[in-house]
Amino acid sequence: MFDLTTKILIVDDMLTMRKIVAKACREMGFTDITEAADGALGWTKISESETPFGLVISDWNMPNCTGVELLKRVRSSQKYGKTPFILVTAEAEQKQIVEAVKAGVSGYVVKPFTTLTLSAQIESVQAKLKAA
Amino acid sequence: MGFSEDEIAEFKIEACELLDQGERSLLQLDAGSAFSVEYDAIFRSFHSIKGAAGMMDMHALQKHMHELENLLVEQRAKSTLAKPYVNHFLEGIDICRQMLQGHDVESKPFNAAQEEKMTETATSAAVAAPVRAGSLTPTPSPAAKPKIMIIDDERSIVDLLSEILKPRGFDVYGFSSPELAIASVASISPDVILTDIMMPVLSGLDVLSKVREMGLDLPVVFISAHADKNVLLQAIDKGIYAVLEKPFHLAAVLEICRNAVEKRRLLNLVNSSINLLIYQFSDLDDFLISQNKQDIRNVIDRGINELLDQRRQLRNIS
Repeated sequence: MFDLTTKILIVDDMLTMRKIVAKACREMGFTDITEAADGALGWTKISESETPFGLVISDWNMPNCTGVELLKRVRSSQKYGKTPFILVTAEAEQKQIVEAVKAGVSGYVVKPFTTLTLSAQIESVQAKLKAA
Repeated sequence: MGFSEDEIAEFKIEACELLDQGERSLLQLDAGSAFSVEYDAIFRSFHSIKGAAGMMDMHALQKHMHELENLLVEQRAKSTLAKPYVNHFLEGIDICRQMLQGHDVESKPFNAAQEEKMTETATSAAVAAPVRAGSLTPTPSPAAKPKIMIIDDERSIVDLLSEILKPRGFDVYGFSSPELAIASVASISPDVILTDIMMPVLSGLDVLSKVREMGLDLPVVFISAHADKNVLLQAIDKGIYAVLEKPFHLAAVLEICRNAVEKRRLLNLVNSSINLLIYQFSDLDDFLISQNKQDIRNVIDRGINELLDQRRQLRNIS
């Protein structure tokens, strides 16, 4: 379950986008925010963190390890497999959504989005967790 | 989500770095590198800028990058990227840079047939077209050619240099009015300026001073038949790049222009790298302060200052 102390990991190869997502999270009241510049670095942060992340918000298109590859790595992990995972992408392409859902994505945000949209997506993930 | 001027400026720096990477990959294609090797860097530059531009409500830029990205993705399965596409993407990158600088420019739709024709006939058209002094609309040509601005109140000199440079891969912007030329520097963004010294109203030295006042790392070359020693000393003091003597020797004109373009591009690369480094350091700085890591801050600070010193020295090398 989330609360404002939830540890959030933001993964994006573009610094501008990491800052935008972090700003949106701070506007929502979250304070414990970590950033990673690609999927491979994201996995390092997840696997080396002393306190597990309560939510991952990751871009899709990144060099080294894409967002969906990171998602698959997280889901195949016994230790971190249930971490809520939101994917961010530039297009709402049917094929991408199907691939993300199959890989076990918790939520999906399409750029451009507002703080309100991201907040609604986080609440929706929260509701799914409660119902599970 | 509102954005401060600093946030927008930081996005522009990162976007320029991405454009440089995309441009390098497109030029590598020209140099024989495989499309499959370069694809990701080109895609990333278009795609990442599109996403961030959308977030920042820069809709024209977002649309422009979206069109470039779609066209690139359509070509993905091909083993090579045809020359007209390379040219179109290079031109698209130039347009993106102008949009980031705040210019009101529009995307250019891709027309394969027209691009093919333009590529084939570029050289002969450039030779035939007379330079239009004071014009802001140069002869259409494939993008990424070095841009040379020529300023001389004698139209025949502008025409002569134009005839030398155009068929040899330069985009030439000729002006007989130095005032109009200076007013056009921001919109044309030339790589090199060749200017006469003795002109009414604004002299070559005035042109050089005004370029320096704009804060541009732009090589300025004086054109002269018999330059006054005092003028040359003042020019050296203000960072003149070279003097091109009349009568012109083809080899000397080309060598000076090519070296000046190379210097300009190296300075651009150094500038964007240093800006990106400072930008990334600013991002890290809050963390270092919170962790009380003053020693690391001092080391990085010294390193950045050394780089800035080296850039100052590089600016003064002719």
